[in-house]
Amino acid sequence: MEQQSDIKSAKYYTLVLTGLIVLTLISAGLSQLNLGFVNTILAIGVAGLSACIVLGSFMKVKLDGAFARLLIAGILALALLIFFVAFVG
Amino acid sequence: MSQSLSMTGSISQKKESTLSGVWLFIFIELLLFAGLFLLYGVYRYKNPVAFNLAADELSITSGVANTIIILFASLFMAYSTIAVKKGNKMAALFWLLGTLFVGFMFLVNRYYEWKGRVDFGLFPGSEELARLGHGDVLFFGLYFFMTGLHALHLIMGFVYLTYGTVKVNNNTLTAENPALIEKVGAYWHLATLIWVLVFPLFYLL
Repeated sequence: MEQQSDIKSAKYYTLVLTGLIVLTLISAGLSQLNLGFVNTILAIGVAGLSACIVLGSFMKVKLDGAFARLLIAGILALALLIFFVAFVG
Repeated sequence: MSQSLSMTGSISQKKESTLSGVWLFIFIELLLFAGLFLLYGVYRYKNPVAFNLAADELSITSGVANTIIILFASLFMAYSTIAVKKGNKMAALFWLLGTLFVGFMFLVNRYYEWKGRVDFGLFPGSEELARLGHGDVLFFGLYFFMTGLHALHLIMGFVYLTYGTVKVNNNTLTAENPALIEKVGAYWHLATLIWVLVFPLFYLL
């Protein structure tokens, strides 16, 4: 029973793919606009969202528990560090 | 068969332990790329103008095309996992071969993109690149290293995926024993995960 419920449908993955393609096109389109530092925030934000979708859907990672919270905190800290060192600092 | 990162999960569960090796490898690879992202951030901070100008040398269309290609490869991989778990051997083989083909298309596009840069003399060690300045050398050094490392990951994925395809064909990877397809899938999707993070750094910023 558990295994059956774990098998996502092909339709689910097709929808995920559509969403990821739309995000990619939006990200590429926004990069053509001259929005200054907002371009960077949008590009990294959309990339982060896409990465979370890949992790959660295709890789089926469930982020729960203490370790996962630590992992998320680490990733966020690294992302902020990169952002501030590279684009704000 | 979800891969929970929870510490509360029982480590003795078979489905968790069979995946732990590949997940450890995935974490190590993610850490490696995290270091490279940090390196990119530092170098970009030190050479903002050179990085902006160098990024204009890369085609956004090519980057978007490769992103869509690798997303389709992940979709086909997910379809093969479903087919294996449902015991549909022919569908599994079809989607696994489809994944290999689409993944190969990604590498073909990568080859032509690299060839374009090399033809313009924009590769590490070239006189043309050295003439452009330190920032361009760093940008294209990181570009070739990170996209090359990603391509290497994909080539290793090809070997792993081919092994899985042979197993499906020999009826040793079936709905009753699907652990290998989970591992192959996790490794393959990691290439997609890394690419969606690498893509904006070189093509959009």
